[in-house]
Amino acid sequence: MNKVILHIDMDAFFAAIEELDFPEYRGKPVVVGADPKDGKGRGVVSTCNYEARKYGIHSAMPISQAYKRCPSAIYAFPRMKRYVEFSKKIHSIFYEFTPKVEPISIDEAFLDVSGCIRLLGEPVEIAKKIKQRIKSQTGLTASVGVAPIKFVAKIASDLDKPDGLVVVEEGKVIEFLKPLPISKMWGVGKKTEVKLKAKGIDTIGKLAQIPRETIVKRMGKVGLHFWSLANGIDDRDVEIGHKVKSVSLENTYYEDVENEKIIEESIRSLSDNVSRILRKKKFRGKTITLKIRLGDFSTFTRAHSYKSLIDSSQIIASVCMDLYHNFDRKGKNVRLLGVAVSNLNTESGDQLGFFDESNREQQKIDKVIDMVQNKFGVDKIKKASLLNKHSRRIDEGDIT
Amino acid sequence: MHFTVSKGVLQKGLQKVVGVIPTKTTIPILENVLLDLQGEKLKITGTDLEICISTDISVNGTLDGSCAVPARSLNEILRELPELPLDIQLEDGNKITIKTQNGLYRLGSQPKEEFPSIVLEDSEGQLDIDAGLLSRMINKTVFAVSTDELRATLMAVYFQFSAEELRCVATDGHRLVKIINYQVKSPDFHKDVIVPTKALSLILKNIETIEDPEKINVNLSIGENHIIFNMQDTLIYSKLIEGQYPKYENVIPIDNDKKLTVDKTELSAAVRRVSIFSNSFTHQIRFAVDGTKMKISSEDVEYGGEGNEVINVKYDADSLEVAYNGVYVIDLLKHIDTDEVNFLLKDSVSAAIVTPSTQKEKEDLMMLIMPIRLSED
Repeated sequence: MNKVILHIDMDAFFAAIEELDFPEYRGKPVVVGADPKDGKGRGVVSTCNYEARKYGIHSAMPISQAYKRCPSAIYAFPRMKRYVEFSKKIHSIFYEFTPKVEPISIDEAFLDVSGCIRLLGEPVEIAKKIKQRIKSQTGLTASVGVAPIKFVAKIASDLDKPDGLVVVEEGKVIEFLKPLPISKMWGVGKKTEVKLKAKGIDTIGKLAQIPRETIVKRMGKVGLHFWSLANGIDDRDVEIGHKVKSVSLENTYYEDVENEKIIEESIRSLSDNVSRILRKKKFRGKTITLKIRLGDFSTFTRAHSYKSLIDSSQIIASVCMDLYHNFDRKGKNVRLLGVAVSNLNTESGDQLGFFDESNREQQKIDKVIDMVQNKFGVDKIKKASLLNKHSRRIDEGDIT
Repeated sequence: MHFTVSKGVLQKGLQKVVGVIPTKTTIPILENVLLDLQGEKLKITGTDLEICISTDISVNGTLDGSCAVPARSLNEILRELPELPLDIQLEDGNKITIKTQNGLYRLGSQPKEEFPSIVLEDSEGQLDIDAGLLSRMINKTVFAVSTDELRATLMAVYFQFSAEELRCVATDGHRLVKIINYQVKSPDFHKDVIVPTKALSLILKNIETIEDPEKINVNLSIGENHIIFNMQDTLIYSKLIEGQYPKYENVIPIDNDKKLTVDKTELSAAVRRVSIFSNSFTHQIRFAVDGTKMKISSEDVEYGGEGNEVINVKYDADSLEVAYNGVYVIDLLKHIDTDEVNFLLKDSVSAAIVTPSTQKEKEDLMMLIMPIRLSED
């Protein structure tokens, strides 16, 4: 039987929740993100509603630019807790229809409904039912793409936003993809787009027509991947139980920082927090990455890999410290710092070691801190080196 | 400096030294070898500042002198040249020329003074070992060292010299090898030193070039911070790794009472086959032993692969299931010389002792391997 995949994407999710909670915002441009501080603000736009998009504002745009475009918009600070509440509600609606749900982010998921057609009706009917359920349960709207493959479902959900529903039937995939601009391809970023356009490939259809051998010769494995997608070949299944690949935390300073002490303190604090999340989730990883963004937005990552698995805050911090000290910021100030641990393995299948006990002192310390923090809150106990808060920061975490 | 030498002789000498040259270095002079001619003897020296090797070759010298030349270029031209007499001369200043019948090659060189010199400290003790035996001790241990910078002391072999024996130990925290030789005694001094893996690999490489290693003596001389291996015309100096080697005796179990005896070749072949289907991250394979049968199995949940085989074993204790990293098991078995191998087991979370079924004369070889925690399913 052919596959039927739904991609469901909430419309302007954060902004829509703000409008819902604050009726006075409705009909006005709403921008959720950092504080614009009369145009001097830092940080970026998280989400904005469709009113704000009319002014050319979009996600990931620096908040100062958004302010320039529309100073009269309503600027709201993100309330993640509230958004997570909604996210949970929406995801539980998905599970009412099928167990085959692959959550992609807080407001987006793939659903494989191939097995429920006899029970629930035609795919388009299922999509409509899900949209209705979301609307009646939360008051929010979602856009849905229906297709036989993931990649096409994802494009389809984006075509008729907001409150959209686009169905691409089996056999019509190539026809559907043909006129679309190459930038709609999953994974084609700005650089690849420029490269492809330079070769005269500006639509997905044109990419699909190039002989397979030519594309492999010119662009290798990545090229073949894009070519396959362009030809409607995408055998990726909806993956239930999303596998965690990395744990990361980053922070943007309110002001670019020059002071080494503050930077070092941030590295220790980020390392501590990443390590705590790892232990809580029972992950350990081999690769430690430090991300540094300088005042001019140039961004660098430096990584170190071990052969054994690590979750100790002390090791993560000391590696990041070394990575930082070997990095030459050429006198520029630091705007953002991030710490990530990847190449993860969970607890089962754990290689036991002879000398595991020698690390026990450090593990004991981490364990006690974890216990207190889990019970009384993160700010109740800290390592002495982190007590001296020099500067406030915006912390953003991610488990991907 | 001016001398003639056959290409083969110079190449062989350079080969012994070139392995020490660091592949990535911020100190350009280390990419050179030092050539030092005195009479009929040319000394070739290379170093990475931790380890230094020099070897002497015989040449027809006409003018004494010395200089440092880029090791890689020299090595490459020698590789490309056929067997020919070479005429090598240091021109005034900073060039060295290599002349053959038809060719002339010129390399930049630097004065001897630019090349780091190793200051030898006093030695505390000396002893002689035959090269074949030294090579065996290193070979049996060096495979088990750690390659993880997390613990520098484990990226090395631990040598323990005493009046009764020489003992070598290596471990990466998951497996451990201990080999004792009761022939090699150092009555005059008792010392434990940590010798870096790179130095040991270079020694092995040098011993490989010796035709009859059992007949050649290697002189070891050990100081507070260094060890020197002196064999025939070659001298290898290495700094010792500072720090405390873990107390490995404490992790050798004393109450493993379940003895399992297996045909080594059969086990090794089965583990190799079953490992193909193990998880590529953990390489986990399971041993389930019950009576005279042992089932070796693997399963890769992620990709759906699995494999299992049953082999005959000698075992009379309670049935037991335990998982190991298949790669480690294969590695250990490679270093067992006897047809049968013994495992002394306790339970699924404790180290197993692995030994050959009979020990070689005046030798005691023992390996340990830690299990992988069985996933609870």
